[in-house]
Amino acid sequence: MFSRIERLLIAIVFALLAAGITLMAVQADDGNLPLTEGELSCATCHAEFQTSWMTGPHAQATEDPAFVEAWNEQGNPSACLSCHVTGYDPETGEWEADGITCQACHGEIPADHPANPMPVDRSPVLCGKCHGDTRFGWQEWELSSHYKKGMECTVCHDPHSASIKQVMSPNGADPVYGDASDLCVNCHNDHSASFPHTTHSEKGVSCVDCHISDLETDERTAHTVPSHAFSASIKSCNTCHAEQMHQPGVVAYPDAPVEGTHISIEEQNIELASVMPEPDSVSPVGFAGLAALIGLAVGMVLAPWLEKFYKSTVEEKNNG
Amino acid sequence: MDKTINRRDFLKIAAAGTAAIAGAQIIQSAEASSGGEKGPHQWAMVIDQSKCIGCGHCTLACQAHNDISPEISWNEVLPAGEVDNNPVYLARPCMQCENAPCVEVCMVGASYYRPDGIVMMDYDKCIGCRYCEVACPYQARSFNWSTFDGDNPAVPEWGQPEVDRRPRGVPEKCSFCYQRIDRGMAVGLIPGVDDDASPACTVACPTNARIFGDLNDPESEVSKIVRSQPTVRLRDELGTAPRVYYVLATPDDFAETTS
Repeated sequence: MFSRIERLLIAIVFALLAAGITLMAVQADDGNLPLTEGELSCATCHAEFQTSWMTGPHAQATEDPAFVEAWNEQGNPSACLSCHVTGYDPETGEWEADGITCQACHGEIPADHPANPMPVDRSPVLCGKCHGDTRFGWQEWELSSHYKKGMECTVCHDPHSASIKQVMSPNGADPVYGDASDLCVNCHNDHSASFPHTTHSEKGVSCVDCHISDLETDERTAHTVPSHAFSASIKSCNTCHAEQMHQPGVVAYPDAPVEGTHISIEEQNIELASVMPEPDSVSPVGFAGLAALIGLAVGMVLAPWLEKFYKSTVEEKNNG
Repeated sequence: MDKTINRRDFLKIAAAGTAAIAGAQIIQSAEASSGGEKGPHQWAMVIDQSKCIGCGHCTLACQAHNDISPEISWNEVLPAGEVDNNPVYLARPCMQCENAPCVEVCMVGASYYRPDGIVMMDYDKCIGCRYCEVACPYQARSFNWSTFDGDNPAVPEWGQPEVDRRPRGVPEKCSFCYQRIDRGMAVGLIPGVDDDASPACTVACPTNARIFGDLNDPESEVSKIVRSQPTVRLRDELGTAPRVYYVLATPDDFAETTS
């Protein structure tokens, strides 16, 4: 039998052991982990953002085969790197990371990050640092009503995947068009009521087919984007209706396949050239009439000199 | 016989007594229903109907940031008729009433007022009786019929979840994104001014139709609008004193687009 003191001592030992283990467990599970560089990546908490970013052009900016090929061909100019890597230092020629990473847009991680949010500029100015060159259609974008009404790029684009937002209907309805046009009707819902009843809609033409030119050009050169002016022009009409121009009431190909809407610019130009109307041949009488008119004019202009010359010749003869 | 109380007298006395107790309770509850203890901030939202185009981006941002099942919504955007043939929309978050019927009817104290005026839910206390859902004159509450354990389709494009998912069997509602307000203020950001401290719907709105801020701050955008422009509150006549103010659309707002 233990004495009372011995029992108490044993109890204290167990108590200390239990307390020690609990303390260790609790400390290991401390919810407020400080973010130290290297230990935790952004993906630890933001896995969804990381996944969508990985699949998009921002993540591939440095490794994209098209970029690598063009960059090597041009002798690896450093100018490209300001937008194709993260943290490029022109003095040393080194950079922090391949691709356009979190820090490229969000900046440095605040020291107390989980508490302090990652900074980000939500205005088009940030996107415009790389996508603002005239080659990227910025001038067209500035002409658009979207820009004038102060819309941000992120209204339509997901900055992490760097692509158009996968469209979701706020009330869970199925997307109508299955392309970026579903994003249009979110806001332009006045059109969404009437447009489905038009022939265009029945033939499978959607908003972006006319309002974003050069959308389906596969061999688009680097650094060009579909027009962000969002205005439909006569070119949009011509894509399908080139043969009907100036022939009101005549339907050229009532059964034409809808695939015809998605043709490249090259094809489009060829098609436009081929439908240019041949001029009617002019009859010989017409040519003769034109020549006569020209002759008449020339004659009238030269008449005074001719008269002078004739007179001088005749007078010379007379004198002689 | 004179001293005994007959049945009619007893009923009279009982009725008077009941009325007195009920009256006292009403006075008591009226005192308690003034929104609880008031803190230094009183958050409010202004929704400008002349700017709202009904795109529903607020709803999507709400769904992503609060991790809401696609089957329910904390924030609905409803068609609200026309002004000069132009469609007008009613965006409806929780009104965060000063005298919230949902708080009044909650028998377990799961719905309560925060000092900053936000009507909050303690989902652990909630027993799922749905009285609050019935009491809300704005249909701002929706019930979790099933556990939401699938992917949230609004994530990550419209934002990332900032709060835990609610369990099955409790009603849930808009919280003015209290988590963004609290976390933002903890690092010195100003709700309504800094995006990271403002409700997700106000940040996502492409037309800036939603304005958020502190009614106790006379220089905040909401205070200025409430002071200077005619605004309405939904079902104000019920005495709920909502903290969501609407600027109504007028024909002048559409003069530019119709001409």
